Amino acid sequence: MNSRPIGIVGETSTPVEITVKATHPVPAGTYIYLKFRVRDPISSQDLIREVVGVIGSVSFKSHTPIMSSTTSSAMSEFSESYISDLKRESYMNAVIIADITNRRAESPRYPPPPETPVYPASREHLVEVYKSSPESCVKIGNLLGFREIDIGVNVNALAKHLLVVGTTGAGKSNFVAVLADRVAQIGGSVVVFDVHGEYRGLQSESPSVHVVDYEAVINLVKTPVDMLVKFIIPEAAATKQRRILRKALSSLNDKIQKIAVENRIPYSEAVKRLYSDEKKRRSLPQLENPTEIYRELLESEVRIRASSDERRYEDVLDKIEDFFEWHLVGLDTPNVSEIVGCGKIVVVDVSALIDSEKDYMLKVVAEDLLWSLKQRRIPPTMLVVEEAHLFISSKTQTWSKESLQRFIREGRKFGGMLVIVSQRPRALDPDVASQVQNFVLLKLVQRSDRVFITEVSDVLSEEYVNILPALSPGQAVILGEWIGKYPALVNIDLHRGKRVGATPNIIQAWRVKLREISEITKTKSPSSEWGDV
Amino acid sequence: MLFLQVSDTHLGASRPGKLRERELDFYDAFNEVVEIAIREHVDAVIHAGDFFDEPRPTPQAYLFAYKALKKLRDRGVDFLIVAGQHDQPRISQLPPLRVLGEMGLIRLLAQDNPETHIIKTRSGELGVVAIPYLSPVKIGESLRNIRVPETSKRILVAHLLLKELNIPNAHASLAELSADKYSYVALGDYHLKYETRYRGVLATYTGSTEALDILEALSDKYIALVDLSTSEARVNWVKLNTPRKWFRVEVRNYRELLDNISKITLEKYSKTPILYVTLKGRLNDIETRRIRDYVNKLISEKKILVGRVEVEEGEESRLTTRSALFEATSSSQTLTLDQVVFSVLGDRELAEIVLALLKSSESVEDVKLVVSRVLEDEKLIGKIKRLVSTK
Repeated sequence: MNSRPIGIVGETSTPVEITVKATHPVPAGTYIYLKFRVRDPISSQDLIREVVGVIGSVSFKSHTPIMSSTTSSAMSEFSESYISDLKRESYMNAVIIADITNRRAESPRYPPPPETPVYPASREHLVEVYKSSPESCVKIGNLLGFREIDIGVNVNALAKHLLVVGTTGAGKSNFVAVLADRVAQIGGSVVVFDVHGEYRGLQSESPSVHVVDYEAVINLVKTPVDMLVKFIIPEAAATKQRRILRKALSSLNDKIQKIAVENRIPYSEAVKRLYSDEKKRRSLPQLENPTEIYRELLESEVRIRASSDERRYEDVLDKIEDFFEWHLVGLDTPNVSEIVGCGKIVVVDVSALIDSEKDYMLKVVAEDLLWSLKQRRIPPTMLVVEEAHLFISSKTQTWSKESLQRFIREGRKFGGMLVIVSQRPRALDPDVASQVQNFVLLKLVQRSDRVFITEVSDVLSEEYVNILPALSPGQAVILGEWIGKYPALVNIDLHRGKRVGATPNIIQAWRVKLREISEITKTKSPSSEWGDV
Repeated sequence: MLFLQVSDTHLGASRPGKLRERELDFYDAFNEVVEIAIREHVDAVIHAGDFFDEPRPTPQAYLFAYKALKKLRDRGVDFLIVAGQHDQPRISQLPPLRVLGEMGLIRLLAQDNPETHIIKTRSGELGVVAIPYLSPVKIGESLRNIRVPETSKRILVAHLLLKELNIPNAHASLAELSADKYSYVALGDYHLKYETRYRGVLATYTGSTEALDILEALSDKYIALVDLSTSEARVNWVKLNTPRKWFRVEVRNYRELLDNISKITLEKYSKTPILYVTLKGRLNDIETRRIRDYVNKLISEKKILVGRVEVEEGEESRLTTRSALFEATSSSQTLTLDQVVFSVLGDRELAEIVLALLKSSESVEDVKLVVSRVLEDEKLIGKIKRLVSTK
């Protein structure tokens, strides 16, 4: 051992947790190494054990009371007397990650005896713990403090889904970009549900990856009628209204599909033809826009069915009107499942939609993907949901929640991988979050967020949670089956192809705008050329 | 910046019926396109593929193309084109568009792989990404590596089927093509006029200039005048006047056919129309023969150019299946095997058996055998001789 110890084991220790006492504290997240002798009580043999761990919480404590009067002489910026080192002590908590005796990593089983010296871990100590096989793994970063130790994650284990949490600016979207890109580089299929439009214009690190910006709209013909009915009439109690609408929609969509298939034309053209045929029979307004025509046709389908209960039909018509006013709809837009593919990242941009539409759209995307996965029409696909607390909330009921729950439950059998990204984990529904088995924990400050994470994860010890507030942007605790038995503190790679999303330069934007205005005011107005006439 | 967008001209095609008149129809349509381009003073004509009908055009198709394109060249109108699958030889052979390129008549933007060009037009620079026909399997690979030009005006010209069209074997969606990175998207391969938008960017198919089958023949034919001088592309659709008129009538019997035809003034069209008759069910032999005779009469009276009778067989996954009963043309130029056999044998059923025998024969020997058996009959030889001498 050529490096100097950073401290010694304190009064208490367990196989997985120790306290460390030292004259000088080390930063949280420092990897440590201990070598100690234990006696097996049965065989009375002495065993040498070597373990590695990581420093969690760090504190300083003075043994003498601090009084301003006595220390006033030392109120210089750095008091460098040798006495001060004796007066105070650093207390640190550390987790023991693995027993690496004989260079074979296994779970630690013996508590290190008090006063065992604690050394900083070296590369040699850690490689055994964090070796990843290149076939099933994608690299996402390096072990914190060890640039030469790559950290890879096993994509196969993502069938048990992933939760990514961290405060704003902690590096969530950079992580998503890195993961999505690296997964696509090994031929994976990725869909990113982009709530803020921050992945628009994402550029892959590799020419082998195709990033597709997909503008999400609700397809009126391809969306299953039952789902459309729920969109238009959200109230489940309105069964009679729903029945009327269901019949109208089925009848209309059947006609459209028949015309489209027979004439080899897209749905929007079929709608136009259907309308011009109808117009021969009765007077109808002149319309050009296919979605407006669709609405007109749907309303007349409802009216045809109006007989006994006039008021109920009026209600249905009102709801159709509301729906078309508030929702981005289309007829020819392909579904996400028609676009996904190997080596592709499909960025579903919903930034232009209002919250309830985003919710709808996530439902559409999740159900479409799950259905296509079950039909084996698409390859295994990773679905990333940003701002997941909006959709999988413990308090409010959303459209997409049920679909995402089903995606989590059934997805794993069919190659559906869900990545839940949130800055407010405490708002997530614990029932959904507890089904996730892989974690990326970026900087988290709020206590309630950290408590939530500890509660939903069976694998997370409190010491890791204590590290979270001290993490810098881009640093993360990674744990779960996808990283293997031993959690890791990781410096996530920086994704170079992500342009937007990083906090905008507001002052620069203001300056540009001001310059534009001054350019305009500088140019003469046409009347000024006349001067005083 | 104004350009004329056209595609799927299929020069050299003569469907249906392999008629000279039909071949000329395609040339007429292209001549009309050239006239519009000259009349509207466009900066360029942009052709989105399938210029010729086949990768080995006939001499007359070449000669026609030369004459028409020369008119544009003489007026200083550029002709920019991407290759469609009909312009791509499947065997090792020089692509026909290369010949026209060598002659300085066209600028071939892309033959086998996507290419990025910056074109200098009279009205400024135009960036063009050109995607020729690629198989649906191959296109995914190619789309990853497309370089979008940095010019202020840039367009995508591609010969492919959009997933938005909702037809099988589509190549890509507008999202996958990154359509929003361009000022305008000009497409070819789909034979009907279609326009749509992706993130505000207009994408259009002008469709073919002359119909190749009944489905595309029932709507009018267009080219697009695309104005790129403002930030948003504007399209002015120009309807073509030359395409031949097609009719489809759906009837249950001979009487209904007469009723339907009486409502159409077949004579008012400058080009003799093409008639498709769909029978809503199988009819007995007498009724079928009356319909056949009537259609043949229309042809001999030069009221229609081609007559085709189909019968609806039923419905399969929303698609009505039809099978052809017969197709007749003003057969002044051509004599088909079917017609010969029908005339020689007189009897329809017998003729069908002989034809089936002839067509299913796997070797020349079998055909010879069938023919010799038929020819052993002196009377038959006499009949054939008389037939040949009258034609």
